Amino acid sequence: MPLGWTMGINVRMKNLMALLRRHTIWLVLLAMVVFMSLVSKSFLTATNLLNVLRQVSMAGIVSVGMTVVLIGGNFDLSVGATVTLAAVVSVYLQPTTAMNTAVSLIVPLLLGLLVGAVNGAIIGGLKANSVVVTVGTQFAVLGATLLYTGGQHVWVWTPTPFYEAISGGYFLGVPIPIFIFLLTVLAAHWLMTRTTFGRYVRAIGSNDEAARLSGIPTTLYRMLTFIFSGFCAALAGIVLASRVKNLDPTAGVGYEFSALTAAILGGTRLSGGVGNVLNTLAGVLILGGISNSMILLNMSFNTQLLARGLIFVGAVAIDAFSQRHRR
Amino acid sequence: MNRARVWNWLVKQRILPILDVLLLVMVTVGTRDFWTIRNLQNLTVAVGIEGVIAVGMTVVMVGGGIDLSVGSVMALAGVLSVSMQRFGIVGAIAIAVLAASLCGAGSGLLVTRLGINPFIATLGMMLVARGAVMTYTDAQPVANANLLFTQIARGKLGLLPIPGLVFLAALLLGHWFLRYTRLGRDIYALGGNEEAARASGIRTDRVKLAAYTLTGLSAGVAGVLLASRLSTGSPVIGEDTALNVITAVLLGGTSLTGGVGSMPGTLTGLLTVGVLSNSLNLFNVPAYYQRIAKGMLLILVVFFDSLYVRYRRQALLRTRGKASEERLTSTS
Amino acid sequence: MSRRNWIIVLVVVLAFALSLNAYAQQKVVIGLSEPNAGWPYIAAYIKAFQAAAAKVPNVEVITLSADGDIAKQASDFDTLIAKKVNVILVCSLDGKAILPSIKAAKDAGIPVLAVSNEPASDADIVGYAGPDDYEQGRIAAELMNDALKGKGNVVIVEGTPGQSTTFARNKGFEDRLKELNSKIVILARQTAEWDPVKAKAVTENFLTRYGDRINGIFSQDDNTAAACGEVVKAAGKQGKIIIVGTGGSKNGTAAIRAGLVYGTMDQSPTTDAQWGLKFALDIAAGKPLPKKRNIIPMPKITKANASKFPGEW
Repeated sequence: MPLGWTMGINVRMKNLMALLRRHTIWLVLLAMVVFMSLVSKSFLTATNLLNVLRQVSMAGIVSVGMTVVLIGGNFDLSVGATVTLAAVVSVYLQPTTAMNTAVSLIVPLLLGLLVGAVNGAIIGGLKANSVVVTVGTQFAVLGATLLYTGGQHVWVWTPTPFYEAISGGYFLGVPIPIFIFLLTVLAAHWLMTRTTFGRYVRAIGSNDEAARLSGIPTTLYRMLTFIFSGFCAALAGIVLASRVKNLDPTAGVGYEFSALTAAILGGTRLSGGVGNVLNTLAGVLILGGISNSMILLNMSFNTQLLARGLIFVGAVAIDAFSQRHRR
Repeated sequence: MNRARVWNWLVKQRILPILDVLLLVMVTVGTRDFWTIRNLQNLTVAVGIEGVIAVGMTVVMVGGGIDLSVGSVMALAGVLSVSMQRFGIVGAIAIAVLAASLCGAGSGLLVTRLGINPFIATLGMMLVARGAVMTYTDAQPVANANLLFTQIARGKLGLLPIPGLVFLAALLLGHWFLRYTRLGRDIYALGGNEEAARASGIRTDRVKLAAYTLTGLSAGVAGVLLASRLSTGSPVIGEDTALNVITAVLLGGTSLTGGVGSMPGTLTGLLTVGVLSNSLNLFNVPAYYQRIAKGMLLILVVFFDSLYVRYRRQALLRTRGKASEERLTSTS
Repeated sequence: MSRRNWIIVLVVVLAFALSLNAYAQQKVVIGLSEPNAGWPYIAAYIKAFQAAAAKVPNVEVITLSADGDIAKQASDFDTLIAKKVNVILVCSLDGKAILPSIKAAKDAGIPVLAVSNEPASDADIVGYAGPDDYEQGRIAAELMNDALKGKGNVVIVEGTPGQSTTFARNKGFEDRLKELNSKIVILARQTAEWDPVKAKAVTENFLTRYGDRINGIFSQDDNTAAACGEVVKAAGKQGKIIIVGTGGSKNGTAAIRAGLVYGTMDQSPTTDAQWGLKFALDIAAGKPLPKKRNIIPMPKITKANASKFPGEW
């Protein structure tokens, strides 16, 4: 073999290894996939993988929004309530005709933007504690949703094919929610790495005072992160509504939790300024893969909890170790 | 009397005490059931059990950390305090509190030895502890047959229910610990600026470990109290506990980033939420409105509090100038 | 400025608060301790109960929701006792954890009637009125056994682990199958935590794992049953997999009419609430209950009679 060619391969491998080591969470994902395909013959089938991807797409969309907010140095614990609100309103507006379908898509998104704007105004404008404010918003929005529905289900029996397709349709053999999820990931990644928005948000998250002093309109950009998060939550809510079409008024509760988990697994730092939407994607896939695997292995609920905790800590420990050794 | 002056005055106060006073006035006049001995006792118990955890949580948060596992650890301790009664009530309680403290220490080790982010470390502990207790009980509650055990939470010392007494003791101990002991002051230093604390000779790893173990301990005590009150060791309690406690602690002025916080502040936060819940119930407000009311309260408090911080910051800048800008940057 | 403005503020607040206390003295005060007003069945129950109570003169209902938290339900009980209500109706979250609260109520001289969810058997209650979870499990087993003609493989989509409802429905199902000498085998059970979204994921994963081996799905709740039905239909196995639900909800009965689900049994929150109110008033008046356990009717629903059950929750 010509030396140059071998050296070329070595250099490429080295780059790949360096890349993987920097984003160890993908290694963890790989390890999990390998493990599961050895243990269960139904894991690595197209149907199963597509199912998993579809199952995580809703939580995944929310995780993307959460990552952006976290990078900006804040938390958004109201996303679960926003998902619920969007989903409930979307179904309640009865997308049985073309006109109604359009409304069922636009209004929830607007509501998501609104909730985000409210969060953003208070937290952005006053640098208020984002945990307490978004918990407050969560309560208020959930209460409003319950009032709106009287605590009852909302459902739509005959939605238009378009509405159905949002969650049930296929494009090139791949379920549409997956496309929506991946598009959101790519859009957010582009936003965070190639635009002023991303630079500013990162600066605000790293050191707010410094960012402000260097002329960045911190209030505006903080607010924008929340608006983006609200939008993502509403989008996920619409996909959820399309998937189930019959909703409990508490349908989306808990999404903030998995979104935070996925973002943190993906290396987003809680103190702000550090985070990568693509790595959050890895976090989302890991969480989805774990749930799927445990059902395929027919593990009892109790064992699942234990296993989930241990895997979780393990994944982060590996990540933490690799970070340490790099220094 | 013009609006501007009232607004100016209002903004200069800390909103929480004002809101508390208003709340108390409203509830005094609005229903004759608030200022009854029975209701105050109920309030004490309802606030007290979570309050014990809040004491531990304040310690860990002042040190810059956080502990999400408290709900699961509380459930574990509760179950053990009932299932281990073959060693006697005192034995069972000791085992329960010990187990809870070990969980706390476990979280602490994950943070200090493995360098794992406290959020994730305690999240993992939360899942593991929950899984452990669910497996141990096969998801079924463990019934308590011992009347003496039930008396712990349902008994009174004079007029004060025992959980209230325990909470009071925890509060006083916690306050003394944070303010007047070396370890307590180290925790403040650690939370304020970890690098500086380490540079000044503080064994930050040990301090963190101590803080997390204390939080585990407090969750254990709360778990025992709750199990006694329900006369059952239930493996499913505590789902919302971490969030409720963290919210109350934050409301009371403790900062998420560490270095700022106090027990009196936490007490105020706990009482605000507790009195609100209690009065909403006494007024027979429908459940959905209660949720909205609680949400609005949180937002209102933070809103006004942020105005206050902004006002103070501007005042400081006016009087002390640019030099104080740096100080503000590090304490936000 | 301070003092005068403080006085104005106080007066406004006082006036507002006094307006809240404008209740005339009521004759009978019923305390209703519910597990979670956000659960559709409970929400429908509360609505029906308050509507029925509104028709009776001199009755006040205090409704407290524990929002899914056992500790809060204990506090709710304390509040009702402090308010000295005439009778307490309780739908308990945890049948054992509610015992000390019931005892405290009894010690305070307030009779307790359990509704909708049975507490532990040694509870010091006047009686119980409502559905029977264990019996529902049994009825589900009968439906499944009939449909599968006595043999086949079944998977179970469970409710939230740790809840007595989940446990009772499981046990009822298994016990009845044994009694019928059924050759039905339970392949697996996973929880969907009463959530149709999770139910879809669980069913998809079941189909991935077991494929054609599954002959039936027992879903401990009608809404999750309908969700399972949709997944089965999307997989092209409608009619080949028998789905049995629980509870007679709107979604469940509609799914039966559409052929997605085989059968369920009805649980009417209106009937539940009406019985609850009637017994509460009887107790407050000192009249005895007809029986200690008053179980509401839970008729089977299949495609044959589904048109008669539009569902209430």
